[in-house]
Amino acid sequence: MGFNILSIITFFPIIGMIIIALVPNRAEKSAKWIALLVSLIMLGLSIYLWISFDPSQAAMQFEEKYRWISGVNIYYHLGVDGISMPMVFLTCLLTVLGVLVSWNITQRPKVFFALLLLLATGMIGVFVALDFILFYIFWELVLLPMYFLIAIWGSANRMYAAIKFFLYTLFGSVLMLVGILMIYFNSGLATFDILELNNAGIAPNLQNWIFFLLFMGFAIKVPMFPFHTWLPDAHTEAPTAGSVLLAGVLLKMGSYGFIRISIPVLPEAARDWAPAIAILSVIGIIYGALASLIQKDLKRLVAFSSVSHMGFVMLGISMLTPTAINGAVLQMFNHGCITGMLFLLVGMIYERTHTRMIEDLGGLANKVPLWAGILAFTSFASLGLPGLSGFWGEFLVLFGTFNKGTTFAKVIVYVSVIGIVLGAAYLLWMLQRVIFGKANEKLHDLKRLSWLEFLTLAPLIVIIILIGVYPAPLLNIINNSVNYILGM
Amino acid sequence: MSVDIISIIPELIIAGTGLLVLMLSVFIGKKFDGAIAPVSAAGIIFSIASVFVFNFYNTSSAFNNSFLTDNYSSFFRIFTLISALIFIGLSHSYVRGSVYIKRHLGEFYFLVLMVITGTMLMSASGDLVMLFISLELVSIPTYILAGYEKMNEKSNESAVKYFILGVLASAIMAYGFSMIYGATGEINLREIARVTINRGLLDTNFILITGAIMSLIGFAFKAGAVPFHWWAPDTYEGSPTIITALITTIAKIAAFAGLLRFLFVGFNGFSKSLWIVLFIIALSLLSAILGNLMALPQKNFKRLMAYSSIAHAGYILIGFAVASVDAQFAIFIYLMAYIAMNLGVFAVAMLVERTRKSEDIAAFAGIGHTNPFISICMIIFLISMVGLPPFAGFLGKLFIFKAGVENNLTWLVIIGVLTSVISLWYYVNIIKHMFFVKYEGSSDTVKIRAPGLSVFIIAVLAVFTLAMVIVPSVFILLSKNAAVFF
Repeated sequence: MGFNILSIITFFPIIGMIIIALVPNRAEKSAKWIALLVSLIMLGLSIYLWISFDPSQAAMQFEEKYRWISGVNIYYHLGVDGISMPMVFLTCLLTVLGVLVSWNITQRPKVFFALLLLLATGMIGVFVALDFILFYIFWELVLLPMYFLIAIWGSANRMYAAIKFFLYTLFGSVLMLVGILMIYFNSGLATFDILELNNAGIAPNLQNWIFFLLFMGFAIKVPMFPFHTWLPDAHTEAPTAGSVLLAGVLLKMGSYGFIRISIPVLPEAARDWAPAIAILSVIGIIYGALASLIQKDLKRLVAFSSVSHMGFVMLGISMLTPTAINGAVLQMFNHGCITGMLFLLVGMIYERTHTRMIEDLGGLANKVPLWAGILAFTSFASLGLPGLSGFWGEFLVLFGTFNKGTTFAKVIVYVSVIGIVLGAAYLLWMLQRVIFGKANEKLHDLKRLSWLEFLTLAPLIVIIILIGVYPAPLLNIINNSVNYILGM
Repeated sequence: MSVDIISIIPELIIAGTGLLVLMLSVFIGKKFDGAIAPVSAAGIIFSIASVFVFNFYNTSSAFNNSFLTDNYSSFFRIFTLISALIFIGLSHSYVRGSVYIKRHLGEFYFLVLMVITGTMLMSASGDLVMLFISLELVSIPTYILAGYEKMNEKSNESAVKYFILGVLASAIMAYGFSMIYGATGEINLREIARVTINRGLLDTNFILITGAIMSLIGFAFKAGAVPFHWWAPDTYEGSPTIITALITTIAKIAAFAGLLRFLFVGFNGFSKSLWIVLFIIALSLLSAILGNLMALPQKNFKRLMAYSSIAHAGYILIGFAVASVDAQFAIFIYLMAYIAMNLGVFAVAMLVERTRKSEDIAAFAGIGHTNPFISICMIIFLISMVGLPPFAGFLGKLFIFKAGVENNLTWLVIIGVLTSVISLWYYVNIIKHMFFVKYEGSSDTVKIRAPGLSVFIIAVLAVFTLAMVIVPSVFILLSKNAAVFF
């Protein structure tokens, strides 16, 4: 490679941010154009990355490695494999959509778009970093812009949600930092390089403790069942672009951490912890679905559905078999597209009706038919209708779990299937109340979807259908790397 | 003899500048006031230059081994002098707004320069007497400076409290030193270490250990570690803000520089002494927990910073509990980061205080909109205080915690990281006031008046805070070379 494409993708948004910061206040309308341009270039680069990615190769590609802090072996080490590359693409795509959906923002647009780009750097960095310290820096870099996005542009209860998000995730990540340091000293390699630490042979007893510390960081981010309480608040209060990126990318950072770090670096502990994670995931699946059923707020419903869907991701990871983890990674990508789209749709209808309460909506099929149609389409994708992308992830996870053959795994599958049924229930019931039924009298003169809005949704629709019909190309890319990580 | 004088040229320049400033302000009078700060700054710059010219990286000892010139003292001299330069820059605009300081400007800068001299001597101390003298040279001027606002009750209270408790701590420390002398028959730090190691005194001799712990109490008092912190909140709140900045930065450098010399040279191998290590761990644990918890309900900014500095002292003490050369370098990194972000925070706070005449956190309300640049810098300083990347505080915490985990103090590190999560709450509370609370005061104080020099210093400190993480190698190399060996 002639040029460091990963560094460019990662830090290009920072350049955009600086340009936006330099724009004088009277020309603040140009901020969104700069942000759009920057994010489109990022998307272009990530597409180029995908095209030039060699799917037959399982190891890291486009690696960049420079000595950063020499005395303690901290490297500036970037690289992508089949697991991180789709995530990079997803991040770039959702950033573009986040910019588009915030097009009409009037409150301090300069700061908004600057923060959005800073957030993009943090998110991409997490997925491409191959050094623990670098990973940690990007991981924490995400918090500050997200705090401000929620706190400045959020809805009524935003201050509470923002600080809760900040404190909660920081709590997890500092424990993760201790875990990282313990790995550094107990591996005997004295390096922070994630690849070199794969199968480092840390004593199993110690592995369990380290796994717990990392688990706290990752599980809070995912979030897994008992640690999920920040999620509904943060998702609900955040502005649309914030919710899209939270659900679409930030949650995946957690499950990505499990796949990239916990499993390869601490294989024995991962095996010991797997049943506990599986049980928590199933509780999350059922709990999230039940909680979605009773939500009155449309955005909160989508937020809780994330808890349920991320439960499938974690279930797949906990099985430690190639099929299940393939399903988990696929589910990560699909969940990012589908839930991102649901949040976009909720944001669009909120702009028109200024309410997110399900009981205040109703009969929207007649008023905004295109929106209603896309909502129905996305809901079907979300509940796992075959032919749409949501199906493959959940199917592979459950298939992989069942294939394990143990009674435990089978029971897990039986219980999780209830979650799928409940998923269909809350989504269909929501559709029934929102787009069918008697129209609310107060809602009239709702604008149809504009071209811009349709353009925002279109890429995701295409992706959902494409992957739903023909997941093989994406799965091939994922599969090689998953096998590689599992040491097969 | 002449060699002896050469070794202390940097200190002599600072002390001489102090006397010069004092004399000129007496004989020339008010006309000289405008030149005092520039003259002091010039003295500091000359002193920095003299360190490079005469004895940088040149290991020697003077005055019968009571004064040591080595990488360690060179590092701390430069570090102190640069902090002092920034401090003088900040004071330049502050004193113009303070009636009392303006009236006695010559004495003010004289006392500040004496504190700087004391701090520099502290890092170069080779024996107990020198340590004691330099600690007093730092302390006595700060007692006076804390009470500089003569007619202000709070300032008086803070000075009296600081003085009485400070003298008590000095007395305990002197008593501790005498016990060490009694047990070993030596006052020279290297000799003390030689005697204790040769005779295995650290395991058996309780007079020596009691002496060491009593001396530690003295240092802990100066550093503001729990449970010897009672003076800190009142003194910080009552002193003029510029002096609070001095106490939290330069006086802190002095305390830790002295403690490093004392422990790593005088008690070389103290990590094997259970009592000393346990004592330091207790100090660190209590400081990190109580400092952070007590900071939560504070409404006064300076009180908040008092507890915050107690908490930071707790983190730095983890490095002492570890007692390895690696830990020393972590302490240096942490100190550099801490001083930079602390000076930055106080620089912004002084601007706010000057315009809005209030030291409450509420006074920060709305400056995010009126003064975006210094507010963004303030976010950098505060987030760095929490220890989040990519700012200097992260690098400090990373190395301190790394040293802790390396030496089986993982449980202490876990408490350390969890308490730093608590700290997020009160630092973000300031950010919240800056950006999300509307200012209710009169309209002419809405925009903070920010003199160019202060803004420049704030910008430099913010860049430094960022640079420490982006190009850490420079700072790591500096600190690695500076470690003090037996």
